[in-house]
Amino acid sequence: MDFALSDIKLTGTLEYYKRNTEDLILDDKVPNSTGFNNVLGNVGEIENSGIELSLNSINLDKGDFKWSSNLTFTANDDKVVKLAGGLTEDIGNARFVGESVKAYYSYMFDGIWQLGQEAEAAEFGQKPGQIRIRDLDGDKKINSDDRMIVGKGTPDWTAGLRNQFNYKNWDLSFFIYTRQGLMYSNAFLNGTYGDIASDRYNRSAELDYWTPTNPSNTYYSPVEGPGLNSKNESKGGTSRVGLSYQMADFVRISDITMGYSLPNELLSVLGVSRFRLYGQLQNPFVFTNFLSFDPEYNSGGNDDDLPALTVLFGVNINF
Amino acid sequence: MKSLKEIIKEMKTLNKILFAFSLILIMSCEPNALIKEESISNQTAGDYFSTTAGFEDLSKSIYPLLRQLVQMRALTLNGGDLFSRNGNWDPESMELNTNIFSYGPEFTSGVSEVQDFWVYHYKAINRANTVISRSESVENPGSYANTLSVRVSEAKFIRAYCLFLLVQQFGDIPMSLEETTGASKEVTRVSSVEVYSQIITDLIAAESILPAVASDYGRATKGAVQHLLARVYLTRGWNFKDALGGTTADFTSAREYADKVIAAHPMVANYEDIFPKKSEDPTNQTYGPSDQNYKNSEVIFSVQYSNNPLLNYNDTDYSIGDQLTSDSGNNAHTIFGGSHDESPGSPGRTSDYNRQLGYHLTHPGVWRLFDPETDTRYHLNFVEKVYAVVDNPGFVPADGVAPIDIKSGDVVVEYRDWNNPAITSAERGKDVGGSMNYAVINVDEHGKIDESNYHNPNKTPMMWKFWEPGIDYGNGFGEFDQPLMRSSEAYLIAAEAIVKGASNGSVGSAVDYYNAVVNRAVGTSNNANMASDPNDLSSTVTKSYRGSGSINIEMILDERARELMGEGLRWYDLKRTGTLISRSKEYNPWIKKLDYIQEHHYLRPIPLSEIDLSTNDVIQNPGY
Repeated sequence: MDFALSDIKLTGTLEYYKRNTEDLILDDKVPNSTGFNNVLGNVGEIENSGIELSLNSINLDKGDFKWSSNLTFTANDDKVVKLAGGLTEDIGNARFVGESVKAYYSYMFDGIWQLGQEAEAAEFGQKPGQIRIRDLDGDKKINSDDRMIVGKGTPDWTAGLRNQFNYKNWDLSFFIYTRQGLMYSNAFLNGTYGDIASDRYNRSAELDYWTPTNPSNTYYSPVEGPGLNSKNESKGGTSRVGLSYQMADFVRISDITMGYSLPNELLSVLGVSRFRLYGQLQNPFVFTNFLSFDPEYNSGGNDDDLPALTVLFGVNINF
Repeated sequence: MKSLKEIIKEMKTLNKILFAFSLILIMSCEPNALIKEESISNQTAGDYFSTTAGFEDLSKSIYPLLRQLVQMRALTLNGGDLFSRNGNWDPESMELNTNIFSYGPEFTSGVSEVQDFWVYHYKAINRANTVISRSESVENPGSYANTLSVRVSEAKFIRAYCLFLLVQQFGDIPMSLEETTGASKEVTRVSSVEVYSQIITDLIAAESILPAVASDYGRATKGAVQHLLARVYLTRGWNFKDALGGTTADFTSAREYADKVIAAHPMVANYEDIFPKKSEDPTNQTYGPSDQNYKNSEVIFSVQYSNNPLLNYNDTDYSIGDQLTSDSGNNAHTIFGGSHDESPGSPGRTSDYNRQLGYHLTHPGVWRLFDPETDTRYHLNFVEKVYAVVDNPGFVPADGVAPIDIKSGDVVVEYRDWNNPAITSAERGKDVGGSMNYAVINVDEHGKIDESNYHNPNKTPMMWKFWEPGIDYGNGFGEFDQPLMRSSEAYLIAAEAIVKGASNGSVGSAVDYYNAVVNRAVGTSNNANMASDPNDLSSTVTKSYRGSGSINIEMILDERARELMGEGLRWYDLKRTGTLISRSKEYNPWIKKLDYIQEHHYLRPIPLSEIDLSTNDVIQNPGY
């Protein structure tokens, strides 16, 4: 749908879509007793539905001052409709009918065992300061039966907003965008940086870890360790795996640019048609609760895969 | 402006380029080159493997994975009486440092060690199945027919070898006997009885076809099949939980096959000659890679490595298997612990002592199984003295102690024999108020000694039976052909079979077989005294381990520990004889202290991923 409202100078498009993909071909893990890890196979049918909205508006245009905006918004819901072989769930490949194709099937982090909960923790062989995992079947044991869908690796919605201001020869713009509803298995905490209970020297001071005087519910005690198990699922660990699934929602201001164009009378003196001085900040701010370097890049901290903060000064000259 | 000289120079260069172009044109105008086209990439597996040359290549694919299989030692060495992953055996702090092979709550179906073991053995089985399945479609084998049946028998041997390890670890297991060609997600566990009978059927078929000496060294031989049959019959004879279909007749078969192996594969005179030769003092190292020879009459089957780095590659699948080294070659020299990087006079990361990762640290009680004076295996296995490799002048042994000058070649740490502990301060190091210029560590202090300027806290010594001198520093790169089968084991198989009821064999009674192995290492006239109490690490009371009169299973297990230490058999030995719990509680400080081990640990969990990925219900082993 395209539309235009002339009084507030608003134009935009709104799209709704629903797309089904049948016979989706993906890597499909097979039982290892076949001698293989995975095959490329027809895994089933998925559905993507959502809306895409784009709005351009001139909010104010009076005299020397002009303010215009551009807003984009997309929401997408992806889900598995059918699985090959008529299954309703394929745990090994983490595919479930009705859930996102990137569902996470794991242990649910339930905070940290606190002082005063000693007796309850002891039923799981744990102590205050260690990670608490939700005991789904209530058998006082944390094992593979306590796994559930804890989240998904696709966002619910994303939005971006650009604002542009002009006043006489000055111009200012900034771009802000957000992504909501996506979860990561935090690669930074999964690695050695999050491994605060071992004798490593790279303990991250940013972690709000539990101590008897700091009853944190976000990170385990460096003294007592994560509890239950070691650091990752493949080592039999369940607790750090549970902790590692975290929402990676964020709001980011990715660009602020300010410029000044020389007035016309000076241009003729210089013999140019345009002379603009500007300063730009790239990636100045990000707001998130995700415990890592950057919520947009689930980095383990070992690769050069992080966006940098860039401060730029420049001149545009047109002859 | 360019000078004339420069222009001429440029033209010369241009001429050279033109000349090269014209050469290419001339060559490509050669008449045949234009019409000759060989499309290698359009070859299909079906086309190639049905030719004799293609099948011959296919048949080689069953061997490289052995390098991975032998590296998966977590399930074969740890969790028993000889080795553990972690040191720090101070009873006070042990609870904080549990590891999965104390069988604690973290030993679940999700552990990667179990998963990797499963994955790689089934990969190897599928390769063997592919050779067996495709042998039927080889067109016009002609004079290759004999070789073809030998290759199929080699594949049957590898399949039996893998199935035997899996059935011991997991009990009832999936057992496909054909190449996987479809993506079935049904996982069916076949009874152990059926698996054992398939293994024996395959091996007996292979025995009649395989030659005594293979066309290439390293391929399976008749001897390897017979040795494996001896092991399989011995194991089935014990009939774990009455679930293997074994009978006492199996012990007779085990002894018979052991006799065949012994006849064809005499033990070498000196135990040391089987393993890499090295000098104890690295500053006076007289051996290098070119001094080694790993082929001898005693080694029946071994994993082949190479001195050519290009051929020393490991066939690792990086999507799985994080416990496997990414470095090529044999890693057996780097994983038995006791790094001395922190000691004075350490050269840092060099080949002098090479890397020593603490994956399989020898329990102190294991030192006490040997007679330090007479048993040649003791000295070969254990580093008793650590030497400075570089000078360390002005080294301070402890706060308030006068500095000493440590020179290259000086002893910096001594591990005392268990029967001769350092007691007086004159015998102890200066770090603990003694008078020796080096640290002295008694056996009862292994893994739980305080930190000193000479060593880290909880120091454990090196076990360097497989250590190789003069190879690159790292996690692998070894060239030692790791033996999987040696005839000295056949003597001990025969001894065990006779103790379990088989009649005497070609060597004589059980004692005769047993003593043949002891005497080779100790000498016939020397004493062979071990500690009589495995529980009290400071006791120096001894008992002889030379057999006289009759022997029992415990003595055989002690001797297997001495003779076959680190050779990948231990967990199976303990399981077969039903001594996993009792012996581990005596020798393994972790298992003893943490006391998690239970009867259900005689079987491993079926890997969680296998259960998750199967579309049918796979019953997990009890207790997991």
